[in-house]
Amino acid sequence: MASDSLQGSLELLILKTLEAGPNHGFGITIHIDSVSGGLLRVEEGSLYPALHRLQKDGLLSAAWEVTPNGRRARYYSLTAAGRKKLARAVEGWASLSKGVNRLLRFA
Amino acid sequence: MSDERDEIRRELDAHLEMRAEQLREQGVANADEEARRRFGNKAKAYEATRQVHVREWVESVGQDLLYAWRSFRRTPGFTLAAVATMALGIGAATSVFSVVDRILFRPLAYAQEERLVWLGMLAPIAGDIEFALAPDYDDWRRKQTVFEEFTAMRGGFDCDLMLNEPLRVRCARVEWNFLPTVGLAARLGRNLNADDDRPGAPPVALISSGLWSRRFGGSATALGQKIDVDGQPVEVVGVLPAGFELPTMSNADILLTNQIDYSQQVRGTSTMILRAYARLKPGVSLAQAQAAFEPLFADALTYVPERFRKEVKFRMYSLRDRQVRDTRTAPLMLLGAVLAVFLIACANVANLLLARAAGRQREIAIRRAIGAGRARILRQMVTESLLLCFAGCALGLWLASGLLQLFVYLAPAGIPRLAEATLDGRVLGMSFAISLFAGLVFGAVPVLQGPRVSSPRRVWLRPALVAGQIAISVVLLTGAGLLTQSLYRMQSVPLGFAPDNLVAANITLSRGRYPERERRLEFFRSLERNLAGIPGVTGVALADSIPPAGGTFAMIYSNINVEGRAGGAREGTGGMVPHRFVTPGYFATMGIPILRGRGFNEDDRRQPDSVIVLGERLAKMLFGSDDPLEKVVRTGSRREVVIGVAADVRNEGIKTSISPEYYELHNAGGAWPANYSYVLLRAPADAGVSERLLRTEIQRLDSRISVEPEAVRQRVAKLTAQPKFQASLLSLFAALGVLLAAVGLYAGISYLVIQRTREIGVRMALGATKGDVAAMVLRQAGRWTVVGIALGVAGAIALSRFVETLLFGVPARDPVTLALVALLLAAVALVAAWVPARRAMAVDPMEAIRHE
Repeated sequence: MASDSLQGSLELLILKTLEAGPNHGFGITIHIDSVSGGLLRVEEGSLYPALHRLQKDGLLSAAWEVTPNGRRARYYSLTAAGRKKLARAVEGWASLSKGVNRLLRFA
Repeated sequence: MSDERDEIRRELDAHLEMRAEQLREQGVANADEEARRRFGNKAKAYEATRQVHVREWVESVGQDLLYAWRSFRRTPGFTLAAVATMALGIGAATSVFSVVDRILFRPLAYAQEERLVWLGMLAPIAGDIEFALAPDYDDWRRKQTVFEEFTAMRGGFDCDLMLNEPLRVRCARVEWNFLPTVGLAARLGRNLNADDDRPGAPPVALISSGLWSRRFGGSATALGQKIDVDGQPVEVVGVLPAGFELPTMSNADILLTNQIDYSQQVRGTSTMILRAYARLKPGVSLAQAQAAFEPLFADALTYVPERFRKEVKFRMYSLRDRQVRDTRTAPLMLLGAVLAVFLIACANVANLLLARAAGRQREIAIRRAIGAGRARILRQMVTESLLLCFAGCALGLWLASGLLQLFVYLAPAGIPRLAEATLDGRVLGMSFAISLFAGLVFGAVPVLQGPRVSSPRRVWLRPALVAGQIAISVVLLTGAGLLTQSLYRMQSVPLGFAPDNLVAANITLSRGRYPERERRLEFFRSLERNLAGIPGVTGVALADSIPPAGGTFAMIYSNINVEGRAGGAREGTGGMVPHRFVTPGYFATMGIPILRGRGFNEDDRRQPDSVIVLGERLAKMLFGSDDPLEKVVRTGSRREVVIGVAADVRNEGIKTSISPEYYELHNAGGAWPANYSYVLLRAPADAGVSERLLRTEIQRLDSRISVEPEAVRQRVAKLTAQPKFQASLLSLFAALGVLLAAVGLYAGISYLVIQRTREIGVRMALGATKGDVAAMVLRQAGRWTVVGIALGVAGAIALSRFVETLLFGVPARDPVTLALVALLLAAVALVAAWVPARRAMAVDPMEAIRHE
């Protein structure tokens, strides 16, 4: 788990964002940006490959819908498998950060 | 996939627009630009996103392949049958395609060949080949406006090349601009030029690549060498490109200059025959050129003697059309035959796949139940059939390379460009394309047919496939039957002479060393004497030509007149009468009976111009039932007494009817004997012994003469070599087709019996006898067969006119052949259906009903 955690962190952020409800790629960017208080900035170019990979793996489903502004956008939502994966990923992240924190304190 | 690409693009665009909108609301100037800047490299993001899907697709194809492989391993019998059948079909088709491609489809080895034309006069005096008289050609080339280049040649002829040892090769004389006209250049050295072509210029030659590498070791030192061609020293100035051939589709080892003095070529008197070829100017169509030549042709016609004009026509063709006109039928027929075999093979594979699909319905139902879409199932099926077809293709190509070698080995000389046939990229591409096509169709058919077992379409499709196979087999067998019969008839045509124990050699005396008639006469006399003196030799003769291959001199029939009989000039030529110059021993040596009077004797040789022997047919044409002996006949300017009548012989090959002919003495006429002659030797010995004897005796007199003796029996066999080749190939394909069709019928009926086992059991339980059951199965097979045979007979009749020109002595719609073919196929079908019928009879009703 730990080895792909850093790369997996974007996926974790996506899954977590979508836990709140279906959203499109741009919406996910805004959400992560605002919730993290600007600390985490999603590299937009790598967002979409990640979304499509998650969808292909069956963690997300996607559908074209109309935004409140009347624009057509592709909305992603969590599947059951996605929720499970999110739960495991949160756990994994917690243990990883716990480990890192301990190491930092010890040093 | 294209949907996906589009979708990703739209998704990224939506992102950029939303960002821009957000930025605009925040009051950022150049919002669009800023949005793009923040996003980074859009193309890269797009590519990365798309890769996600490509990888998925590749992975799933891998799955399909693995799945297909497993399923083939489970059914090795099916797999082997399907692959072997495809391999047979593709192998046969590929090998034949590689042979006929060069003749039928591939561009000629000339640059921009589509602009090359062949033009000339068609007249009885030169058979069915267009020619141009030298003064006409000279006139046309000066007046024409439609050609970029205009050239002429004097056709290919045998010549003697002296290089350490005498060698007989093919020569042609051409105008200096011949190579530029056909768009070629010497690969080494230089082309001919106008100076070389001036009458009296020192003779130069271009030699073929083959001769260059065989005899000069492919060395540049060949250039500038003097070679001895027919006794004349000729300087080699260049080497022809590899694969060079004359527009007549024959090879040439040496190209010499024409060196015609056109000022001496006068219309109305010159009879020098040329072949004329030209290159159209860019943008000029053939029709335009033909129109432009109308007045020139009309003018040339006025120089033709008036009574012959009706029989003379002028023609202009595209070179390619003219070339393939005479050689097209046989290759097209062979190509049609292998395509037919290929179709039969395809039908078998389709049948196999249908049966397999029927057996896999459960498996497919399960796959669909666990979420595989129709498209995915279709892809799986297509993957499997493509795999089968490509495996068949690979095996087929291997088979094709073997078959190709077999063809080249079996093929007689004279099939143009056969030796160059290879399985090159073009041919491989064709095989690949047909395998791909077959794979896609086969894969799609069972799926599109739907999953229902008892769908009426399925019941209809399999019998249609079987009937189609039988129909195609009928067509193939009919063709093979017709060709085989014509071959037999050709071989049993009475030739009019006895070809066994007879050898012949055509020799040429060098003009340089035998310039005068007396020298040639002396040579031929000595040769005759020496040969006749050998113990065991029973006949020796010389003749300027020998039957049955044509190549004789010919006299216009209306120029042959019986003295003292009114008649004068008749209308038209009346056709051509071949004649030959022979020594007294000719009739006995050839085994041609003298029907009346006598043949030539030694006394006649002292007054050679005074006697003539008529062929039976000519005697009848000239004298009817009157006695021709002692009558005086004028042939052209000669006046000769008829001393005998000889039986007719086949002169112009086997397929043409017997023509009238006459004989004169070998030393008759001012120019005779010419510097060439056939030497005939009859001896009751092995042909090899006689051939060696002939060569030794000739070279004892002059070691620089090349001698290539040949048994006359072999010469005769050559005439039927091509029909034999065609008949054997077509028979091979027909046999293959029938075999495959029989297998198809057998498999079809077997499948039917298995499907209906339960029903058969019920019927038997209800009192049907074994006979009834067998009859039921055979009736089913019979219905398919009858439909197939009927269709096949109709098809054979419809196609008959295409093979008409290949046939001899048998009508293209020969009812006997058709009836025999139909019977044969019915018998084959009966055998193929009998095995499953017996299996049906052996059904145990109790077991069949309990089953399942």
